[in-house]
Amino acid sequence: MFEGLELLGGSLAGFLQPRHLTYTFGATLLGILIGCMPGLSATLAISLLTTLTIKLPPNDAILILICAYVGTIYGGSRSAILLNIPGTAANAAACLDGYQLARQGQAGRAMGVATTGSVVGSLFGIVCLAILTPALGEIALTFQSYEFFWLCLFGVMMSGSITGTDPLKGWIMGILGLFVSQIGQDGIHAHERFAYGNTDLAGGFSLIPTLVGAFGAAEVLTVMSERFSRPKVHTVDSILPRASDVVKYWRTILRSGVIGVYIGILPGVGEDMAAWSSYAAAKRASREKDKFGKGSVEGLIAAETGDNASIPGGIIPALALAIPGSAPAAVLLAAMIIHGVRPGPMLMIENPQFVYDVVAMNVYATVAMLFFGLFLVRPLLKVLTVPRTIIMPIVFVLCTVGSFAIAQRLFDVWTMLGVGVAIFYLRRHGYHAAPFVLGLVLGDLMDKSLRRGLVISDGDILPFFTRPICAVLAALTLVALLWSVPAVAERIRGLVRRRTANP
Amino acid sequence: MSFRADRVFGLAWALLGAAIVVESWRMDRLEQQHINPVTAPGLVPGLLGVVLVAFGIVLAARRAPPVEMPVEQDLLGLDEPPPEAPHGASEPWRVGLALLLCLGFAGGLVGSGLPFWAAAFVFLLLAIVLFEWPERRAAGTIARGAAQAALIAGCAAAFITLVFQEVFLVRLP
Repeated sequence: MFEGLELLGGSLAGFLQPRHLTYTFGATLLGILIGCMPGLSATLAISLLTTLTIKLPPNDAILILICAYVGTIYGGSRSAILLNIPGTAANAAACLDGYQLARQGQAGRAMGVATTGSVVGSLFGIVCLAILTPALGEIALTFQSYEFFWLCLFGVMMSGSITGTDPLKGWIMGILGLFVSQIGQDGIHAHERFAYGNTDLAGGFSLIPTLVGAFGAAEVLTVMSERFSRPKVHTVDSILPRASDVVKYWRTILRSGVIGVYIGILPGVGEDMAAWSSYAAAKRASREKDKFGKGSVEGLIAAETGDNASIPGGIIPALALAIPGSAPAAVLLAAMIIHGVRPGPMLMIENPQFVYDVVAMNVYATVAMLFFGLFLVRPLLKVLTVPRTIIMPIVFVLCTVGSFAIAQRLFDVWTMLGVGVAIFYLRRHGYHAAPFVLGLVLGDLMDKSLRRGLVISDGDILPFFTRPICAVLAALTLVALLWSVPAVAERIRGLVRRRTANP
Repeated sequence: MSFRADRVFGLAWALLGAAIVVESWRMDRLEQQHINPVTAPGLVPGLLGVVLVAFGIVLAARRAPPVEMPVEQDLLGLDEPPPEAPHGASEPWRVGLALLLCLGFAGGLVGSGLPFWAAAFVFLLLAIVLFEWPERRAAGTIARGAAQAALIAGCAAAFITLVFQEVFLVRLP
């Protein structure tokens, strides 16, 4: 306990250098600007910044990425409130009440509420990050290959189940991601798979160019394909957050924080689900249910607390298990690996300081978010009026040069382009990129875990089902699969309805 | 997302899965290195191929796409999905132009021998001018728009090139 506090104190003091403060405020501001612009996601921001920060020391680079992550999710609430267009998927729930408040001439108040919710949610998540990461790391030390195999599979299947409206397509994308990660040298015998003598393919698809393609190029193509009209931005009244909102809705804030962190920890479930779940829970528990969707401060505060609390929540399993809680956390995990950090159960033993460094990075990102939320609202709104016909081509140039910069090979540019065009096409047919990305990041670990597990058990698959945690994860994965079969889900719903009708 | 498109995609996924299974089966099992047979490199890709075949067949064979409600609608217990954010309409000419420009730039111009700054300038100029064309033509400001686009493209191409080349020390293609 005290050792943890000591490490945290050291981390907080370590990031007080002018260089770090410049990175913190610069990256958070950049994140807010990116988040403000609909079409540019947190995953894209972190992917692109990973390419830009590749030559920086690990802690500096990760600090920039985390600040940009926090800033992007917060920035997305601006366009949700003022334009009714969520800046990122995580802010879709904020549109419901935020935009209604703006229409009632309370845009500034809505932004103040969003700032309050984001800051409190972020702080709650940070406390959980500091407490739960070492605890989960401790538990994970007992995990063997069997558990890691199921965690990977569960994460990919969950992501597939909740992305979009057709789980089957989500699972197909997850399987595709897992397969693409198998191309190149395998992790146990270094044998070339699906390379056919091509030296570039033998090295496998680099993670960052693939992610930039899936979230950057595909998004640019999607936005450029749509007609753009210059938005009308609502006028803004006082943006100062009110302490009374925190006092009045403390139960909602606490509940949303818990939900946000819980959903963040679940592998593959992102900030958008955290916001929706918090919003739904707040609506169920509220005494003013009828106000939801018509400009409810409680609804907005729940959505914004939930999505921001899920950011540190998503980092918890990434650090403790090397299994990301969301798509942006997946890119963050990849960036940590690129920078020589080895997340996973051994992190708390080999490099405990890093865990508290990440906690400190989140603290400073939250401080910067509050600063910009209080003092730079009006100038930041100008970015909402910049035409996307200018922004998107520039982002595509950055995607291209960023993909090339990692290893300075053209193959990475073609990878980015190929993945981008494929995802752009697939999205138009209801296939989403998030399960693909989770599959891509977790594929190597799943492959090694399955084969190592089979070696330990001498080819026996029973331990994959009989060990307690494995049994739970296997059952959850099966339930997720069966729940998505309409006939099964309908029958279960029918049973529940019958039981409720005849208690 | 038509029913027919799902059928075609389902068959394509099943075919891809089958190809993965065949290639995984044909993959070297490293017997000469006396490795444990359960660690053969083709094991996991082969299993993934089997699952892809199964999912592909289900997608192609199902009678209709599921009438699944969005998760947020389920969570909120609404009869209707929550109001979606308004999106701009996708137009075929914009789709074609976006693909043409992006493929032409990243797949053609970059690495063709043309300096990166020049390739980026050409791409940015064309993208801004062409995508703004309908609005500019309606407003009668095509020449002004082209001049603005050239200025923005020049500044952005120069800035990106300088930052990557001089700050991040990347030898650009």
